[in-house]
Amino acid sequence: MKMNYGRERNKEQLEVFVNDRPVTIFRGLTVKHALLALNQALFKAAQDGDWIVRDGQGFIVGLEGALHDGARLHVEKARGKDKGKGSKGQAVRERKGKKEKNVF
Amino acid sequence: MLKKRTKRGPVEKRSRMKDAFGVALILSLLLILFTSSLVSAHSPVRITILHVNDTHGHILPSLEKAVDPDRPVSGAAWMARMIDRERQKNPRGTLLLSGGDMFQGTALSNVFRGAPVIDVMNALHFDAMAIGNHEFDWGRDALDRLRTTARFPFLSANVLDRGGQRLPGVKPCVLLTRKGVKTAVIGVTTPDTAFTTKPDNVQGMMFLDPKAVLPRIIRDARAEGARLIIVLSHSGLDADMKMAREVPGIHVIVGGHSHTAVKDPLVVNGTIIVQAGCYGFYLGVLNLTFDPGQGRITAFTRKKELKKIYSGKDDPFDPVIEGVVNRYHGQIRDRFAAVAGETRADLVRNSRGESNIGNLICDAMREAAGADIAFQNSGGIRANIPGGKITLEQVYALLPFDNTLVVMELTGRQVLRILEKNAAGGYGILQVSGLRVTYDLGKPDGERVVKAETAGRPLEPERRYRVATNDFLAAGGDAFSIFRDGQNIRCGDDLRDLFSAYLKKHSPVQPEVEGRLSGLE
Repeated sequence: MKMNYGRERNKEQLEVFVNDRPVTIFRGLTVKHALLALNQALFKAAQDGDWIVRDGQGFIVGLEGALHDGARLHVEKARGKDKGKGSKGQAVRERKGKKEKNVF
Repeated sequence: MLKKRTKRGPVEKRSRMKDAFGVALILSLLLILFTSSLVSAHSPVRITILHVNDTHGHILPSLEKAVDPDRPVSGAAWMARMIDRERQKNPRGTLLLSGGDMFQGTALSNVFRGAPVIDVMNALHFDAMAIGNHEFDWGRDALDRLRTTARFPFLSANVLDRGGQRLPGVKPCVLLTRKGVKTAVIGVTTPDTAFTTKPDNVQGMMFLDPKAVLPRIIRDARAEGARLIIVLSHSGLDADMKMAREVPGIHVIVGGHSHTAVKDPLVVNGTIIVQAGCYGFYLGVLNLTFDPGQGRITAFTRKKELKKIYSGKDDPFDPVIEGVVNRYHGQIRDRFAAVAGETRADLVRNSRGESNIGNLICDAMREAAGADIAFQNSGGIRANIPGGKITLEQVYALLPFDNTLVVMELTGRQVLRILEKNAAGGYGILQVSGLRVTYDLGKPDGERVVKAETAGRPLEPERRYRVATNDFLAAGGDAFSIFRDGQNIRCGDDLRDLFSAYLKKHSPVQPEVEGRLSGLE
């Protein structure tokens, strides 16, 4: 069931998921705007570098990174250095990476 | 004579033997060369793809807590050194590529309209760059200036004019040969550019779905002898994965746009996908073993493809590139000292009520957008400016955030909800243009706006108004979530640019607190 806080989405808007919570933002806005739409404190913490954002593949994305409809973002506390191994992001990546191995 | 002949006999014999030996030697060498050339034509070769994307003008080092809290990263001179080191490992087999969005984003690059970055890229001998959406931010003329200054091709296969022609000087593809392997590098630009860029800057342009143009370009490149196919894609990681699934025949996608640090390359439908984060924090180093005979990659860098570009005091850098950057850095002081305009009044902030600087900024936004109404959050206004000349440096201090103009349609009812919310305070009030509002803070929530007029007439709840604001509020910043319900959205200029243009046009200015927001304090 889609929870969209009673908002009707138009074609100029994207629905993205931040920590599995749906938010709508205008097409052309970026990762930082999605955080802002959900929670301004989260946005501020990410801007200050205290929190990092990963995409649906588990890779770290920049706050000005472009988004698309259905994009999934996960915000997590920065560990000081952007080490992927052992993180939730790494686990997501490893799960997804198992299927496609063949090189052209 | 005979004697002589007799004497010369063995010499001649030796000479003939020498000749025969020489011919045999030459033939053997030719055979070896021929055989080895046949072998080399089909022997696997090592190709190195060095890549960056979304540098956004970041050519100076910075301390990025999320990347490394203790040691600076990024910086063109440090990146140059790393590129040089990687090139030395494979001097005849290296390509240096950019996934686009290289210029817009820092004061140093912005005030020179990308010139410092293009100079760095020329000095580093980039081989090709995809055109990103932000390459259109300063208009077509600025893009053309950058393109003609570049000593490498700007690529985009899916941007056409309305007549179906390519933009002047922009190529869909370039063929580059490394170690005898002809390589096609094809550029694509995100189709979202049409929606996310100031309309004037992309007027008369079509941004096609890459899927619609790539198969033919790949086919043509192969017909011209290309064995290795690389797509330089400013589309974002998820779009690149989709492209890999839907377009066969791509060996490698070098990406950009989503600012994704793809630390370990992805493989989708046999296509390798890489992307090097953003802001020059990383250099992507993808080593491939390519079998030209089979036309396939037999091995590639599977782990830790991104190399962090450290730029601390003990990290090696390239002094030549440092010189290029410093030349502009030295000039920026002069540029910042340039007069953008003049004010006859002191420009003073007020986050709890109407301010003359807030009025001035909102007037500039409203005029640039051709809107009925404009809103700017007080928190985005960060400096006071005394009466007199206004320098570019003061404009940057006044508006330090990289905000852009967003124009939308809201109903009068929605504008009234924004104005009611404004009475609640919280993060600081919104400054306005095109409105005259009277508040009664003694009344209950939701009833505090007692009068709201635009253009001298009461705000009509059902009428749609064109409203200009910034991207922060458009995303619902400061809890003004109503902006997120806007329609007919247009993204526009950098806020500082439009404010500077307004000052240039209207100076000397003399904004006043004139009762646009009465009774709010």
